[in-house]
Amino acid sequence: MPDTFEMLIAALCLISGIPIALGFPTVNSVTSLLPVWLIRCWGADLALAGLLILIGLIAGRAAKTVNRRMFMIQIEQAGLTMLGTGSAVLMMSIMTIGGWRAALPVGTYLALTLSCYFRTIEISDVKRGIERSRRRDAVE
Amino acid sequence: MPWSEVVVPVTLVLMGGGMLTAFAQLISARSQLQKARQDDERLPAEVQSVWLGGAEKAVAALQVALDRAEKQITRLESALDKEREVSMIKDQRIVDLEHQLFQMRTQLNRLQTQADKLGTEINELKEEG
Repeated sequence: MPDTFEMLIAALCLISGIPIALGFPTVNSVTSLLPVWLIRCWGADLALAGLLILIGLIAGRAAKTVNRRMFMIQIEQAGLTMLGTGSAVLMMSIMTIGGWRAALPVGTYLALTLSCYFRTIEISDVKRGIERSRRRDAVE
Repeated sequence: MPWSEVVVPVTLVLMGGGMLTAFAQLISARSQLQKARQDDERLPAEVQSVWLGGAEKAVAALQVALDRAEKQITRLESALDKEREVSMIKDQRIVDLEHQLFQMRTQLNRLQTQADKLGTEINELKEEG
């Protein structure tokens, strides 16, 4: 079973990112700080991140070969990088508008951003490990 | 400069960096998938099937690996035989040459003895004359 928490966050990003990318109203903190085109880019970033993570998780689970699974993990990694960026933008906006009073949401988004980047680093480590073992097998 | 004025450029840099990184990761993933597929075609054993489980696949993959190992052993053995053959030919040649050398030395000694004898005879004839 894929990580349901990650899947839920990804689905949330996809669902909320599409209307933002299409120009529908969004979070006040972001709207009051960023220009419309940048908000749309942010929405597109979130939607694409959610889509990539979902594809990576679901198709990675269904993959029949190690190569295919590795490819899907890397797709997930790309999605996580984009989600980390999108989350950092939202955190920054809330921090600018709310200051210390917004410590709780800022902390939440900071945690999300950091967990995205840590997972990205973890995936890179897994990739390096697999490549090392492949090289070792090839030498033997 | 207030922070709110810096938010837009920082956001741009953040998002630009993030999107570029993600794009690079996607391209790298694609190229690595192609490379891994090409490598796997050359692999002696289907490691994938061993990883993914399934006794039949694992046995088949090991059989392939075993066949390859046997072929390699045969190849090495034939190479070793050839080396032995070459070594034997060399040894034989050395023995032949040593024999020839011995014969030549014997012949040389005989000629030397004959030459000494002739020299002695010449000296005797000169003394008589």
